[in-house]
Amino acid sequence: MKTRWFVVVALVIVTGLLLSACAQPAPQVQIVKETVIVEATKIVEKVVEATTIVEITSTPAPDRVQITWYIGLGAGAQPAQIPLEKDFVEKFNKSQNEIQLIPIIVDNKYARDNLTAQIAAGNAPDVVGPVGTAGRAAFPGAFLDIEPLIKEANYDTSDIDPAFLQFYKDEGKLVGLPFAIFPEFVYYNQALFDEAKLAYPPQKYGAKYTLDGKEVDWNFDTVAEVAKRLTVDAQGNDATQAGFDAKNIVQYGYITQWSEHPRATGSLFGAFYPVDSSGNGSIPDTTVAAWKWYYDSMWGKQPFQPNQAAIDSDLLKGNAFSSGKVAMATTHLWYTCCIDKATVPSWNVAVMPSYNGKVTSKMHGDTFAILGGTKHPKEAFKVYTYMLTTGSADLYKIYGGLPARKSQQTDFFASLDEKFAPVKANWQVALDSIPFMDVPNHELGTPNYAKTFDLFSSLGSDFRSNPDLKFDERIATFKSELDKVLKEKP
Amino acid sequence: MNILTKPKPAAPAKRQLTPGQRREINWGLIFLSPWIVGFLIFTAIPMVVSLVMSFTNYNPIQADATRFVAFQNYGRIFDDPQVFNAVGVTLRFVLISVPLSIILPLGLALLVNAKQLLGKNVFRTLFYMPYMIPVVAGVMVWGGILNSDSGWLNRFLQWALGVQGPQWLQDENWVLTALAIMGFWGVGNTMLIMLAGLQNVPTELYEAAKVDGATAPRMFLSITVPMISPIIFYNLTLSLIGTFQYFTQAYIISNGRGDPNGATMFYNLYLYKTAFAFLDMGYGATLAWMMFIVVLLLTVLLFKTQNRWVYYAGGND
Repeated sequence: MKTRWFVVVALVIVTGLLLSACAQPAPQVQIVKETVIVEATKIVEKVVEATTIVEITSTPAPDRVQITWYIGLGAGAQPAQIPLEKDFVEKFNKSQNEIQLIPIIVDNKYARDNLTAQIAAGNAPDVVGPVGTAGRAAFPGAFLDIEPLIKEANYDTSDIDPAFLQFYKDEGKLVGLPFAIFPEFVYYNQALFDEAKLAYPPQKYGAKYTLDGKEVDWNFDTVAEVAKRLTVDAQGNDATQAGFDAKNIVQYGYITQWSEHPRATGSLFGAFYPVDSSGNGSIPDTTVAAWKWYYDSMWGKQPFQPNQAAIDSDLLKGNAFSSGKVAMATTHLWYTCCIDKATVPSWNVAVMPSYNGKVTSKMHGDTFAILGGTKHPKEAFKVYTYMLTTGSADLYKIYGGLPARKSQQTDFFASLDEKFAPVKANWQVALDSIPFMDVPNHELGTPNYAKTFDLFSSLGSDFRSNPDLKFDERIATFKSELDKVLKEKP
Repeated sequence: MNILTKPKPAAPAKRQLTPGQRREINWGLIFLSPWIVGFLIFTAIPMVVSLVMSFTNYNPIQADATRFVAFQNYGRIFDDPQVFNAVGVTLRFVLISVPLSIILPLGLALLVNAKQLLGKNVFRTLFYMPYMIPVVAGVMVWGGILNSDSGWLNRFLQWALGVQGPQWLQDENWVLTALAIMGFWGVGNTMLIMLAGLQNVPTELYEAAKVDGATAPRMFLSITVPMISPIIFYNLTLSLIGTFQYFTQAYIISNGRGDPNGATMFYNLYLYKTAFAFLDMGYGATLAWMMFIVVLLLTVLLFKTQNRWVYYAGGND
């Protein structure tokens, strides 16, 4: 009898050990742990240590189909956005009782590698987004063609511009329905302009800028001049004054806010596609000129844009314009996600400057996409349609994207005004910027995309970090490396 | 039968296990089974799979196009300039980091073991505490400390020496040093092992040496170092293996790209990028196996040297 009890106890212990051995390893340090109870759905949120990824896991509800929503490949992983995304998930889970939506939020810097790892491990999520052209280009052929699902569900797309439907086709497959577009324009800090007694940048394309009592073109030369006057050292000298200390800057005039990839900065002076019709690398002179302007703005004699160390410093804390220490930023509409009202109490938007009389406003277009490996395409599409219809208003608030459906645009701008009240930005600038979108788009996929992207990224890193860069030599090396990578079989 | 032929030694009789011994072995196996199963599922099988993968062109996104490529991936390693760069970066870091990862904890262990030190436990705790901080959090903190504009280190250099510190994380000439400095943060564990080794050195040896008039450095070199040489050897082996596998810190500091200008493209980071960013998982698996072989060879080599400098009081067995 004793032996039998011993065997039973031993088996229980062994089974327990086996189960714990097979369970997911516990994170080394759990920084945040809170429990939210949602009708029949328990969500346990935790921040795990691995590669600074924020990962939200949920306890699967046995009576529901679990659909995982991967956030971070495009926008969505900013601290300010995460609570709102959680609210969205909670609202969706309450709205029905068939599906349990589970968000996984990953820092954008690591999202591409992380998603690859998840796909490779057979843990591919179901819905990914918001994701732009660049995010999708990293996963060629991985996303589901949703046209059959649209037909099956009789989903109405009549309110969507057919051109936008074309914009979201990858290799002929419709991988997403247009969700939001993000034109690029200038954000400016009114208080810093007032302090420097400078006129605000123009809010209409073609309008002149008033500098020293004269009307001048609103072009990149003007931006540089104005930005230099707005760049101030610890002694109060601006970058145009004698005695300016470039090593002790406490306020900058300009930044390409979170748009520092060379394919983005290279598009400031005009759209370009880095591959010619023969498949060779192609870097136009305007692109090189834009890069030179960008590089000199950080390392020239009168710098007016923060370099990488300055961006990461205590002064700018990684979100330069929002720190209140940067006067102008060229970036996209999605940046409305992350402006701190406390540090930038008065701001507005202005039109993109021109280069040789031509204006380019880079365009980002986000959507949600369903991964081809999903086990529940119909349920994933249900989540998808919720995101684009009933839940879209909430998502537009989170991501700051201009709705692709015209009928939703007025409400969207009203929600931004409400968010930033009493600031009332001139959102007509965003609408007016759309016709100047970059064609070809700076996020368009290239052959051997991941390596090409990395090559550009390293060039950008050099621009932002190397004060002694031999610019022409670096560009020449880059061009030859680009040719090599493009010819390499991926 | 030739009488000169040596008779074959009789085969040892098979030891009969008693039922009690058999039961004991069975129970032992049952209790070990979670680890055996865990090892098989999480280590052995993935290793075999990755070995098989190294002979294919496996891409997780296009799994249908997978085909056998024989030794093509292994040949590719020797034509890949990025591999040479990654090996160079890793070896440079091994040369900087491994000696420091032994000398610094040994120095700290000597310090916190010193009779003259007041509040030993406080210092031991303080030196050990950073080891408890997760690597990622530590790297984030160090990112701030090493920021060339607002970091404490450059501010200190400016204040103490009146010099402008380097761009630690942006300058390719300084970034490996910066990573090595960052590594000091986690020496607490090694220090503790060294401390345990130091405390096991018989005090009679020091007393006898003192009587013979030995100086402190002499005692350190002739008594302490030989007596703790097994501990040094153990830490050296772990440090060597760990440094070859260096990844997390480099990944975070370099945005996963080896910035600046490839100066932090460690072998392990390149392996990871190849497999998970460039989706070339077959070649990635090959790179992983090459690293395994090289590290194994170096470890064996290190073990071979121990007869020359490691002192085991109870013999080498």
